[in-house]
Amino acid sequence: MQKIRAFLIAAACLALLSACEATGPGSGLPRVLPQKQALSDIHDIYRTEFAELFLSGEGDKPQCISNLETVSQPSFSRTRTAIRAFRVRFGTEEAEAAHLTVLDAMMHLQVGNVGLARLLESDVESAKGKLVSQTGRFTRDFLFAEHFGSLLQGWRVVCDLTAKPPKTPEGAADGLQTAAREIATGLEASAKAGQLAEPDADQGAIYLATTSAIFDVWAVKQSGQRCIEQGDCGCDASDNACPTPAVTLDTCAGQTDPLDRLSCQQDLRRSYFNETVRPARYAESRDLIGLFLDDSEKMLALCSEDGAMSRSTGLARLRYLSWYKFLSGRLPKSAAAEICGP
Amino acid sequence: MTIPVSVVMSAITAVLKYRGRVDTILSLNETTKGLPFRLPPAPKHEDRSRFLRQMWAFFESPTGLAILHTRDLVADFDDVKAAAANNLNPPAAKLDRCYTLYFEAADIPAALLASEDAGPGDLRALASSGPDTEMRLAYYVVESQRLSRNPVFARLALATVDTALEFLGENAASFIANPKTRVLVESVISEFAVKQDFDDFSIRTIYQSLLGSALFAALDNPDSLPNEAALKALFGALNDLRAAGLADRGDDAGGRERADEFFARLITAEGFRTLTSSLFRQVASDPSFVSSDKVAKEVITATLNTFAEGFPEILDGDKTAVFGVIEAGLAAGAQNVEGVLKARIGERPLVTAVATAIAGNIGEHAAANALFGELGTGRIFADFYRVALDAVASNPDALANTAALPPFARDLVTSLARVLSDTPLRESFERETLRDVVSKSLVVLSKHPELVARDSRFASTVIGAAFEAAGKAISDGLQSDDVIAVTDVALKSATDNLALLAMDDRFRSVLVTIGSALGTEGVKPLLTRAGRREALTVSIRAVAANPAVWAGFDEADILQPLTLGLIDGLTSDPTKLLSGPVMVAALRKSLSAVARRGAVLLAGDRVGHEELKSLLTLSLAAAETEIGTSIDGENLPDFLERVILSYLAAPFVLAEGGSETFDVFIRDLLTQLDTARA
Repeated sequence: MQKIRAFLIAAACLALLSACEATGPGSGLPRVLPQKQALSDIHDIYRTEFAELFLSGEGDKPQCISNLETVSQPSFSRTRTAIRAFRVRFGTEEAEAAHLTVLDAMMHLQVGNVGLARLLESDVESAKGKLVSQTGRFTRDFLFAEHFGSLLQGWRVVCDLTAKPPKTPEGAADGLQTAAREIATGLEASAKAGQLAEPDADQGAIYLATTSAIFDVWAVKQSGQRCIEQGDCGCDASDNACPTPAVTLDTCAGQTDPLDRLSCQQDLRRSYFNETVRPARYAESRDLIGLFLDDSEKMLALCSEDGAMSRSTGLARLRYLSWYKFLSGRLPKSAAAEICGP
Repeated sequence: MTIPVSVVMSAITAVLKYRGRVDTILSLNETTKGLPFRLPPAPKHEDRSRFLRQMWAFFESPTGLAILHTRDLVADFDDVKAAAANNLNPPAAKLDRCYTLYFEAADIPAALLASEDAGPGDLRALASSGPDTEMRLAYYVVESQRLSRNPVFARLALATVDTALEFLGENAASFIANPKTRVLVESVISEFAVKQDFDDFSIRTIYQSLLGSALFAALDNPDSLPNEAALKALFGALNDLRAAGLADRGDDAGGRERADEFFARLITAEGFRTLTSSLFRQVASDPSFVSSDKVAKEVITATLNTFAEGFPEILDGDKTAVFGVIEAGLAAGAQNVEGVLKARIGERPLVTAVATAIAGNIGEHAAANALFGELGTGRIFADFYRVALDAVASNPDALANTAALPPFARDLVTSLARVLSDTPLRESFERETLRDVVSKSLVVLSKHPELVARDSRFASTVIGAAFEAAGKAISDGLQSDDVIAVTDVALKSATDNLALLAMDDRFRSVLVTIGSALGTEGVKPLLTRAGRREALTVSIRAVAANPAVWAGFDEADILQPLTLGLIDGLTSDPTKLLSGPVMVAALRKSLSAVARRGAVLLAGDRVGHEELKSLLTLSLAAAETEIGTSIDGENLPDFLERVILSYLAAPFVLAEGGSETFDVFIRDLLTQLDTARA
């Protein structure tokens, strides 16, 4: 009886406090709920800094931090200060601290500071055990921590490729493809096992799926370059469609102008790559994102008029839909037709 | 609604009791709140090879090529093209760099989400969006300055712009845009940036100095716009000289640095800009010079090398000597391309051979005579050279050969050295003024090449005589211009009258005597300094009109008394009309008349200087009584001329205080004068 009474009081108390919290800005309870308030404050600061860094203007988004002048390096300095204060006050052992460890690592990653992010890799790994929800499903932070190694690998290559001047690390395409595959495989397995939170309740899975797709688009681009420009299309001469050197030289022998001849050879390889290699890869990426979109979102992305998607979708999910639409657009028409119906 | 206090208190108690747990629950809830996360950057272009043709065309355009230069990627693009030409796949890393630069330079926006069906027109539209291509090029050039290892192209462009702005200011753009002036800049670039390694230690300083000199000269000669050929010759020769200097130093870094320091001093020395300016004028004055740039370059190179090897003390010292030699050589060459510029003596160009001969002789005399050693340097050295070259050019058949040139050069330098070493002007002028007088005199002498070619020793004598006579005649307030004017007249007279050569040293004696007479105290009040100079020059002309008689006066030792008698007679003038121009005219006519009837004076038995003096004294006294009747300042010189001519034609005894015969003589002359005027 005593236990029941205590439970009822706690429930009433929680409802009361939740009601208080829901009354809008300025209704914080720093003395009543100091930890929650501190976390909330950290999130607010993070959102503000995120907007300042990445939403301040179209086309003005910072590149990876390693490619920028020191004075203009983006950072989440105020967020990071608040996190340090939180750890001093509330310790580093609880789930909240684990969440902040992942957030800290992700902040480094988002500005392309792969080196500092890598320093936090073991902390992230340690935090992972505290990030499974009480229902047993994987939270966003758990997924980030689970795939942090792949994220590091992919971001590192992307930062190299977008450097000024660009660097093309050895095995860039393979590294990106591996990172994309690892994330995709893990997400598919988790989804199959029903371990993921509802897509609309936690954006972690779709963020990772889209990240994986972007890594793979880079990988496809690099592979395409290797095929089209260097003639290494990874196909066997026994494949009749394979644009081997013998085939391209023979087909383009009639072109006497070097530029015309080179263009002709590249056209042949491009046709092969765009018709065989790229669709398969893009289809996998699209389907991975599609795992975390509902049917109405897919319909909106593929079947609606231009502009309808942006009008009907929040900014956060619009970018996932855009990638879904882009990847679908590179596939045979029938793929979209399947979803849009007759 | 009434809230029971007890209920409120229960809630307060619950919160106080469980707020820690509630805080934890809500905190965990907060950790799952939606947060934004940035996706990785997407590739700008899914398939860059679709831009192959656009990139190719862009980098083959002038702007594209220039932008390749700013990033030092010309070789990369060439290799890409070479691979295509050889049916090979372009080298991946080089192609990467070319595409990266193209997308950046052409300001192609992200196309990932654009339709893949975009046609060539769409791609062109993408490539042509953004700022003007020239502005982009300017951006790349300026931006490259920040790079620690910026390419030669950018450094060259910035050094040129920097220098052009320094000398031309706001006019720099129009200067470069003008086809006639841009060739000037192109010449310097060609010689000192294209043909040389612009990475050299001090090439930027050298390049900017040369360009600055060229721009300065262009500004100095707005009506003689530069010509590519002339500048090619000069800059080409300088380039060869520098390359040879560096090559001599081998791999010794310190030595090469010193060689460049020397070269930098050479082109920044006084005289270099004058030389450049002179080249403009030469080319403007003679278009045939335009097609002779190779020959001109050979001449300049040979001359510079000759000085560097044979007369390093001249090249190391006052470089105006060397520049003056080149300037004079090219000036003579421009006026006579075939006969001078292209002419050779033995293995050397004529211009260089003459310079060598003169330099050798000047060196010998300079060692023997301190004053000449001081005078025969720098600008005056070049003046010596100009005299010699012009003389040789005026008579190449006689002098432009290995047998005739050395003795000619030796005689010329020896005689001039003697004149300059002994000149009394060294007592009259400060050393710098004396240098100026000597230099200008040599310039004047160079205008009489035939005289020098015919008899350089006599030409020197004329100069010496002019110096001495001018010094004596004008002594009070003598200025360098006076000396030059007298020298000019003396040389011109000597050139125009071959008979003067026969006077030899007596010409000097006559001039000095007349000069001394004009410098006497009696003359000074009647003539200003300019008047005395004028009197001397008309006297020289009078002597030149009848040199044999004047030589005879000197030989008979009657020159000095005769001249003094004449002067004393004129200065006794009671009419007070003989001063200034009237005195000059009277002197000229009197000297001419005396010479014209010189035979009777040379005979010496009937008329001497005393008679001449008495004649003029009595005649002027008679003229005084005729003022207001038949004599004035205008006809007084003619009257005196007639007096001398008539008297010397039929001499008679002149009684002191006059005589009936003399009165008749005068009246007869006055009648003639009136008749002539009527």
